[in-house]
Amino acid sequence: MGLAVFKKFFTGPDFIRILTNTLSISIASLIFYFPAPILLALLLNEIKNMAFKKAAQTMVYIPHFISMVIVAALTAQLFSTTDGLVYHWLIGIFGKSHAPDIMSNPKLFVPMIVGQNMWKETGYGTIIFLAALSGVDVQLYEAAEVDGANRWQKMWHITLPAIRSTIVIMLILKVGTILKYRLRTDFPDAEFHEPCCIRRI
Amino acid sequence: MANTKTIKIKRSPGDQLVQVIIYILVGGFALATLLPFVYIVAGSFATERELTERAFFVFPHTPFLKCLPVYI
Repeated sequence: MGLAVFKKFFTGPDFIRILTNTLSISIASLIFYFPAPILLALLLNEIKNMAFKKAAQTMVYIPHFISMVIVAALTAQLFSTTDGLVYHWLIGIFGKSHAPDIMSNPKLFVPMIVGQNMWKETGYGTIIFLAALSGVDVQLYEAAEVDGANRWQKMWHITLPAIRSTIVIMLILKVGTILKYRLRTDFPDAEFHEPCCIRRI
Repeated sequence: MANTKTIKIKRSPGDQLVQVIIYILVGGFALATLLPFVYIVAGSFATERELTERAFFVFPHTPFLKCLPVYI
């Protein structure tokens, strides 16, 4: 019984399609979703107004605590062709006859999934990088300021090297989850833990 | 007693512009995470006609409460 399930899965007709979809989503996430929390943490670190910084941090953290099912429902509602907000905007830009139907376009499925993850998890992912940034010695920035370094030079020579080890560790952990996404097919023994919008493929 | 006076370093115009852009980017992303919730909650209090006619709103013209369950 034990290995029979694995044999059935690996020799099934949809295995290549499942593997291709999983890898395409994971690689796209690695390229676009992984740098997003780092960039947001660097931007938040540059903000000196503490009230604005705290308010922005709180707002970007909120989507993390929402279930992915609700995010999928939000996406379906926003991109709906009947009363969707995004579709209204697309009609304003392209006109009613040329507005793209994003939800029914298979080529936009991977960008949609990556976009959902970015919207949901970028804020929460900044926590680790902001913690690493808070450990950077302020005197390094002051010394760089005295030496005439501009903002980008300080970021390149002080900020990024300080969080390099954190980035590497997070990248290793992210690569370890590259086969995380398991997409439903008609395969009877396949597990399904992803939101309903994935079924559209 | 030593006179401890804080001296602010004057930023160049380019640096100030970059700071403004950073504020806009962060504020824009924060709004982008918040606005879908605002829209969905506002839409739950609106009629279907208003949802299809109006693109985005925070307060519906005609509040509609019949779709909300009443627990008594």
